Amino acid sequence: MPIRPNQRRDILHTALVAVVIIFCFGAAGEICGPFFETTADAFEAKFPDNNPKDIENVREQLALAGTDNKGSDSHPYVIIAVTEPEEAVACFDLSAQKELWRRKMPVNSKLFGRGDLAILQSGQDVVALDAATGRVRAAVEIDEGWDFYGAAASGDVMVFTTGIGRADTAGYSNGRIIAVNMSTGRQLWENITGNGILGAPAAWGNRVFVPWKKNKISVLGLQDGAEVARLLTRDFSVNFVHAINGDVFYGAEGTDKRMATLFRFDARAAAGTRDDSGGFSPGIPPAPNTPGFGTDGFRRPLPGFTSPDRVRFYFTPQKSSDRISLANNRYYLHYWRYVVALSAETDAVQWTSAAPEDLGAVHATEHGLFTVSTNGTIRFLSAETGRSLWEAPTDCKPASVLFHVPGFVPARDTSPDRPDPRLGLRDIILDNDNRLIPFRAWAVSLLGRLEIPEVTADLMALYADATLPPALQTALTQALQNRTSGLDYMQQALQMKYDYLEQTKSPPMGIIAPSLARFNDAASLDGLMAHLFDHETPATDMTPIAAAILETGNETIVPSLRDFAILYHADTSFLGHEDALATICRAILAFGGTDGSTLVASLRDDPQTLPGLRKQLLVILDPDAEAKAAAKKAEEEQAAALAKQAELEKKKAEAFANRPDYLAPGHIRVMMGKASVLLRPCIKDALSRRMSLTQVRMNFAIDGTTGAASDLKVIPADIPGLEQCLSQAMTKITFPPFKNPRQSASHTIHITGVKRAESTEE
Amino acid sequence: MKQTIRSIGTVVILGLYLLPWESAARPGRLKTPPEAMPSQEDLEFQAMVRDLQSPDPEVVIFSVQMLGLSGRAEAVPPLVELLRRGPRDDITNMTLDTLGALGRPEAVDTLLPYLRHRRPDARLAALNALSGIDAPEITRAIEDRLRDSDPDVRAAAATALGTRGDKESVVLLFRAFDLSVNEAAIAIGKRGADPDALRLLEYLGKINIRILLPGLREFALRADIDQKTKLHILNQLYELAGPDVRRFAIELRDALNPTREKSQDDPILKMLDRMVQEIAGE
Repeated sequence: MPIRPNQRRDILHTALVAVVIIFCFGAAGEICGPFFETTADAFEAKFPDNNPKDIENVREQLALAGTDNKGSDSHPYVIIAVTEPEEAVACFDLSAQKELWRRKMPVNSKLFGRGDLAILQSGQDVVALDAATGRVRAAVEIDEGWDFYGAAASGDVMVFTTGIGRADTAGYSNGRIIAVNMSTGRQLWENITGNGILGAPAAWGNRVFVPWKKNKISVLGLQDGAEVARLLTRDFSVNFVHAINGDVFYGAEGTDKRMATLFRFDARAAAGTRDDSGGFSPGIPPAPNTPGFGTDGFRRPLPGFTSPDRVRFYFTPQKSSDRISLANNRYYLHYWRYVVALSAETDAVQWTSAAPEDLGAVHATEHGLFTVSTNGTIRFLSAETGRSLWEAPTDCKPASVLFHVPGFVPARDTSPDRPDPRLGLRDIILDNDNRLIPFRAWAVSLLGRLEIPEVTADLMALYADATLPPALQTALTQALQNRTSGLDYMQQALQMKYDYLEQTKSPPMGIIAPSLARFNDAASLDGLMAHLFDHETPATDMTPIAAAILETGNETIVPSLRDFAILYHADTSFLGHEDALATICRAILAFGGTDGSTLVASLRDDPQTLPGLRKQLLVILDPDAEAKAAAKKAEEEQAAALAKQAELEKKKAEAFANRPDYLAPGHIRVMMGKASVLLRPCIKDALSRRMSLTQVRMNFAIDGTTGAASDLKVIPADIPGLEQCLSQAMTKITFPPFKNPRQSASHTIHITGVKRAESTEE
Repeated sequence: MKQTIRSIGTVVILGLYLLPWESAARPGRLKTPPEAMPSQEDLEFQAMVRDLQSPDPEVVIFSVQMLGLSGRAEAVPPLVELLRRGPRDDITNMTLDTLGALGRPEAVDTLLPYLRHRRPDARLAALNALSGIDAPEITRAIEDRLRDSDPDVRAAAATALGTRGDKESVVLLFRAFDLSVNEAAIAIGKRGADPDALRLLEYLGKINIRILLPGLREFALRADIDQKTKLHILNQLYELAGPDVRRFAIELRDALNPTREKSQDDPILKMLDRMVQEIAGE
């Protein structure tokens, strides 16, 4: 059947529309592809947070998976990503101390992985390398515009997260997690948050843990990506999730006031709060740069070591049913080239270790710490002493390091000597690296916490070192203030003296003096007196010294105290520090008998005495003086008020006596005449209503005391609004007062054409 | 014995009895001779001393000044007494200055503690006051002020040691010089011996030459310094050259030979001439 032209046009039209529709779908797929690729239910708004049952199920799954995530390769090695001189990934066999393999490849991220696998971003791909051979096991292209955040693996499955936007901004952000089967090279699933970045994931058994928007951890199925549990943290930010030996740990960021906290993904985690989730938080003063227990998973893992990579806590978890348990009951702080070991129970410093170069990476094991310095030297530090027991150089400058050292102990510490944490901390404080000033100040606070008497001497000696930066001096002052032992050393410190030629300075008398007073140490009296008279003693220290003298003094020092009080009682060097002089005067009174009282009284009465001191002396000599003065003042004020009241009454009486008995008609007329301006508008209005109006008579009462007019009656009374208008006007008139309480008055306004006359009658 | 005591007693009693009678015997006559009468100056002096007790600080300050101007040794005790009352800052400083101007050794014991006064200006006033008084204990006390935290006090101490220091002082002055007390250079130049001159010369090229030259000038001007040492100093400066050295040479030459009468064969003068001629000016 022939096709008519109309039909041909319709077919063409239909075909064209179909092409356009197909093209649109294609374009939308290209643009919005990621949204259409979500293959499992995850990150839904309706998913329940902190469901104890969900969390318990996850715990059961972890328990089923055991403690080995792979279990095949027990060979100890370190995989190092290098960016200089050329980008590569290399693997070092630690037991043989030789390079196993090196693979030249772009290095665009830090290394992630586990025992047998190293995962990194290489160019635009996420690449998984076989740790034993360096062979590529999987490579997945990252979509353009998406940034790599981290990866993990369990069994044959590799998962990695990418994101758009930043975790710490309010703008648009999106996160994506992709799972790939490394055996088949097939993508298993992919999920998109639609809102919020996903941090670096962790994987164990058949579960994937991914931090989301810094306040959630979503637990997904490894094989299908379906969300099975979700943890919402209510009062802290999550900055990492790590899976270690069958347990999952996550961390709260530290602040300037509070140290970071380490949590375990267990039943208590469901509480979602920092205090109730059973976390472990160091009980030490907050360390500078707010170190965390893991690498921030929301920070892009660019290769190289920046400040956050060099300041971190490390720990080795131990299996425990109910709480976080750390191997050797110890945790470690890595700070640039230092490692400080602290007791997990008491937070006491156990040892410190200093490497010759800055450390790029640290890995804690039950037996010790593996460190890799920025020049590529790998060392093993004893867990017990921090001593470097073994080292192996590598020829690479690391940009990222991945450790795989299951059970490997390269050497054991056989020395019976135990390190002295006091000496270690002192070495840190004396490190002349000014980058470390905050850390050195922090070491001062740790040193001050050691309850060893000699520490007081150390702190004093450090304080005497004029070359230490002011931040350390402040820390030393605070540490000394908190000391409760080492009195002997404080007494010795009294011998310290400012001397420009010797470059020595005064002891911290503001700290020492109260301690000496607290111990009521009479043996220190001479030293206290010497510092009282030493002009180099800072003015701020004078009051504590004077107070200590008052506490420990006796009558033998009275002559000296007298000289001191006389010399300075009018001297501006004590302006603002009069408390010190007042305390000295108290000591003179306490130990000086009658003569002392006479002297202090004479200082009080000297017109040149510093006003602040005189005020205090008045109180010292007569404790009731202030109360007496206040009572006297109140009495005087009351008498003045009474006199004023009497005067007013008198004036009132006089005014009343001068008043007339009644106001005379003339007086009222004059007042009404003055007020005619107020009345005129009312009369004009009345005239407009009644043209024939010739007069208006007003009858009213006047109050004798207030002079106010009231009870106005107007004749004629039938002009609307007139009486009201005039009553209003009369409220503004005040008549002179008179003796009688009230009088009646009347006033007539005559209207004769343009001429108008007024008359008033009483 | 008893008789003797009784006789002495009688004489004493008689004497006591006669004394007032003698003086009161002739009414209308001068009781004291004219030379024993207080002069107008004495009366004014006593008034000034009385005014030190005034409650008005301005009156006290004026009196202190006037007592200083009197230049009289008798002014010292009332001024010392004033200090013992612990007056306010300006009166204290003025009194210290005045005691210094009077320059009396009997004020030393009072002035010395003020070297340790809490106010640096009081320490400075005491230091200046003491530096003009000749007493052995003062030099050590002034040396101690090189240890002061106040730079003005250290500088004043160094300057004072230039006029009264000794061998021990020079050791401390070098230490102070190492710690930027620049005034110590001149004091070293005035009090140091030949080896000290050579030691000071070692600073050449290490610190600003303008700080060093005044000290070297002092060595060059002194008669008790060996000519070889002086020539060594000048040679070293000649090597260094520069406008500061040339100006130094001109001034030193003028100081050593102001009238140009000295023989030009004097090696020092010859060297200075050479320095002036050969070193380029500004």
